[in-house]
Amino acid sequence: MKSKLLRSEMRAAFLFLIPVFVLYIIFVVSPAITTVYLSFTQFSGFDKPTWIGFENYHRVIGDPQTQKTLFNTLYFTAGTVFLSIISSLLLAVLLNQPLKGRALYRTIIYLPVVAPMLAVAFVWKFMFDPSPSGLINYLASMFGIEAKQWLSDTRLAMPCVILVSVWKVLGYNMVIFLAGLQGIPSQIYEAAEIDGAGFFQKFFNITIPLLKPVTTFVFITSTINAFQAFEQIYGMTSGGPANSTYTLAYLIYVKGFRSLKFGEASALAVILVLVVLMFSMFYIKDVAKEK
Amino acid sequence: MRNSSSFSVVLVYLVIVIISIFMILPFVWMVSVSLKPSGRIYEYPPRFIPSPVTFENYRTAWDRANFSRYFMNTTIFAVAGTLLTISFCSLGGYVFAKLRFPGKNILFMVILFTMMLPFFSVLIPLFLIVKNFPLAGGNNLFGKGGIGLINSFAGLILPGIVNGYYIFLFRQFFTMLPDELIQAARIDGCSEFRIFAQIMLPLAKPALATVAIFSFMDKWNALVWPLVVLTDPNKRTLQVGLAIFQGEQLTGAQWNELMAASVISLLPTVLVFLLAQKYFTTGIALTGIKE
Amino acid sequence: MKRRKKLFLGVLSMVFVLGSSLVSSLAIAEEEVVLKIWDTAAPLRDPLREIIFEKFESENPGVKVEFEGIPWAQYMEKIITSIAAGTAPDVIRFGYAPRFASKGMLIPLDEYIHGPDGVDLDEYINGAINASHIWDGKIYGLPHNLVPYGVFYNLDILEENGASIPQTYEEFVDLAKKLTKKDEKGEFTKRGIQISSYAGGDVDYMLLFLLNQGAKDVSVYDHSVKEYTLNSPEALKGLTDLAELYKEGVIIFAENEQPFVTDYTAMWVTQSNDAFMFRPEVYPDFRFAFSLLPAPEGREPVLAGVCRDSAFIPVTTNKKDLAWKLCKAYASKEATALLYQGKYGTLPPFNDILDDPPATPAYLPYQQDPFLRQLSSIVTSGKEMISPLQHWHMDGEEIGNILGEELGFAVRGLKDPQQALEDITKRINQILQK
Repeated sequence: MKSKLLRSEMRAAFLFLIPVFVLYIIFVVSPAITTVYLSFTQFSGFDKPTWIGFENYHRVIGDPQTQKTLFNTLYFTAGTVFLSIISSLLLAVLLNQPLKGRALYRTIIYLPVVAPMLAVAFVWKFMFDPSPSGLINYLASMFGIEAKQWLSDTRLAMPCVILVSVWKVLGYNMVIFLAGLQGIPSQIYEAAEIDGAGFFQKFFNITIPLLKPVTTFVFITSTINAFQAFEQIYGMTSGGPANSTYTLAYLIYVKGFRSLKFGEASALAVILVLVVLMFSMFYIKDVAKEK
Repeated sequence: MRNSSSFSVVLVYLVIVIISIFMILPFVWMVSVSLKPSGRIYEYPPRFIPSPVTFENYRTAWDRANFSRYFMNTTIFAVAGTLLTISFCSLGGYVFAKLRFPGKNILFMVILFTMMLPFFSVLIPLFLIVKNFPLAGGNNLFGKGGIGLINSFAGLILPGIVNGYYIFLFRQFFTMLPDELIQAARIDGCSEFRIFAQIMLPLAKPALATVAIFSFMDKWNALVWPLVVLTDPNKRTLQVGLAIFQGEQLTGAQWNELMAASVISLLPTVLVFLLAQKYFTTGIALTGIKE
Repeated sequence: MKRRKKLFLGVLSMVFVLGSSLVSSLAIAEEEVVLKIWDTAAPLRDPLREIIFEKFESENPGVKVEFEGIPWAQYMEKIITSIAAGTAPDVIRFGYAPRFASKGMLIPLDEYIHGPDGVDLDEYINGAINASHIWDGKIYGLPHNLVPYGVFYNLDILEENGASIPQTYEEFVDLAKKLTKKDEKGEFTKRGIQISSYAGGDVDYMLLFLLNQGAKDVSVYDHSVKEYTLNSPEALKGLTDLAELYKEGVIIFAENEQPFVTDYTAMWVTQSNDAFMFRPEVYPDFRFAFSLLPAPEGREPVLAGVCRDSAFIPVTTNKKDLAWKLCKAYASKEATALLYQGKYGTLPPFNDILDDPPATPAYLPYQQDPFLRQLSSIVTSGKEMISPLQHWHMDGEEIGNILGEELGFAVRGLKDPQQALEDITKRINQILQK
């Protein structure tokens, strides 16, 4: 009886998956495999790819630009992921309290998520103008902070790009955390309060541990997205100033669509995936263990 | 005791209000610039409320950029694409969550791997696959001779339908639903498809709404793929029209006209978000949590 | 009920999808020859372009020109994918011809240029074709524009300070320092110079300071060039000056015209067609002037810039001869003047813009508008135009990147200028000698 059920389950799985997988194999898996193949070739996008083995990888790994780009990417990813997790968690906790108008605040905080990144990147670039009439400088001057060159300053440009990236994704992560918080039964907090626990104790001893599954999910998706971040750099800095905001995703684009070197670009893409895999190994293992 | 708690309430409100201002600032600036006449975009000190206010930019943007047509094209694309996406991805997510079959974990790893590749590295392979699609657009059985699915509605939406991220999302959600429901239905003699369609899917309304909104947003904001795959100007989508409207850096639209065009194109996604807010926030919520 | 609805929706979508792909595969009968051309998207219905097409169609009966505008920022993706798929048009109007040509994507135009329906190359400003449109000794496009690098001056600020337009480099530097001001708190209220950094363009303008001293980036404008020769005492002087000016706060980098039109910066080192941003229609009261970067005492100013735009022909076309005719029509004096009429500050790349221009309305502004007159006389003064290596070499992207990084560090005081020049030479030579 059991094996009959199992077989019909497997048959159903097979049938259900066919339409999904046909589309998936054609439009998602094939391009991915082709990219891996192209990483071993020299390909201008137009001519026939010629096989050159690991030459792209040698060239890419030996190039000082790649090393700098990798550093920038890790800087960007670490900054974006940690800042967005901490701030969205904080906001979720705050907006989980019975505050007046919290629905409105949640909506406002979510708003950046729905806007196209390229468009808002231009707006931010506009606001970061180095002259005193640039909006950010103008607002800063009201707090006594002198006008800065922001996107032209090699030390400030990456923090600005990180800021915009966090701004964009904050609302999304906040909502995920909000749901996670709502899944923690209030009795646990009440019991802790009876034992005399204050706000911070409740937060660190109850909230954080119980939120772990949510936090790791947010961590992994934010990491993948951060590694692939492109439009904010394209729209705000073009990788500058002096390559200080040049990230891997941007390099892949430029190597492919500006230098017409798709073989190298594909090798860089494969390297990117390997780095992301390294970062997210533990979470993927968690997910795989499930069921 | 009372003093410190009201102080902390004030502090909480302060933090939330400051962050909300930070989130909404670029949008306020966008609208402000869109209402400014040319020549008054840059002023010192910068002004939020322009004087004089002009709506000319919106009129120009709407007329010159042929928005009505692009709105229609994009609506069809986004709605049809979204319907297909939620159908296919819910099916896929359900299979990975609830049905047992050999190789399930490996298949899921493949899906995760493809999620990590940046878009620009698969653009050319995907494009060539679409172009060489057999028996379409004048192609023979081997996919040669014609233009395949290029410039077709199918070519536009098919690649985006099966998306690893949404399958993952649905999978997380379905994992949370109790197996007992399924087992009971099986004992009652229900077919696997009926279990999916009539029992599980209705319970998945929040996930459906969530993916629907995300997918709608993705397709509404899509730029590069519609630009590359559509060759008929009449089939253009909104973001493509907007990009063309922006034109070269040095010609065509001024910042104010560009901001007006951007505000127009932003409205539908904001509207969809506002209307579906309730589904949305309860929706994504549940995907992060694991059992 | 729900299931039936889902099935219905699913079937409907499938029918829709299959149906549309069937329809798109139906062949469309054509009676006339259609020539397709792409151009960077300026206003969708550009009346000036239509004038050129109308003229072309009347001169070539039976031919229809089909135009499509492509967004500049995504043009590379569009071109590459279309040539790869064979859906490219017959003519593409863009820049970077050598890059595409080096990958075998374009048709060389030499036999057409020197043929019966050809073009006289002597009419072009010295250097216009050489650096920007040649690969492996062959010409792939005729230049449509010329955009020199130079300095814009905010005349109101200059007059307020009793200054006039500097004639030498030394005067220029002194003026820049004089016009940089701080308030009581030590914060800058005015800066002398802004350098354009839009889309990585600051490379070109930093380089300009070095070329201005007499440095040369390469010795031949030929893709066979194997040595980058920027490292010289002249280049070191230019770079050291830049670093010093930056350190004193005289120079800032800026993405657009905002600091300039809000009277924060007095002078703007950029390309001449940035004048479009503060053209009279938009800023009627803004008074400005333009000159090449003033040269050191005893030297001539360097005419550096780009002539990047041209119309080129993808190899995938089957209408080569007609495509050439359209290229030629686009490259005519009248057409180029028409095309760039709206792009205030761009010049047609011909020798006789002022002296013997075509008697057409398109050329009137070049004779009447004071800024355009000034610009034209600067350019047609007989100098050879220099286009920096990163603009025409097939590896230009990497080269420009190296320059941008090293020069950027040196100017900001993050690296020793001599070391930067040595590293530039080493890294670029590696690319050139591959």
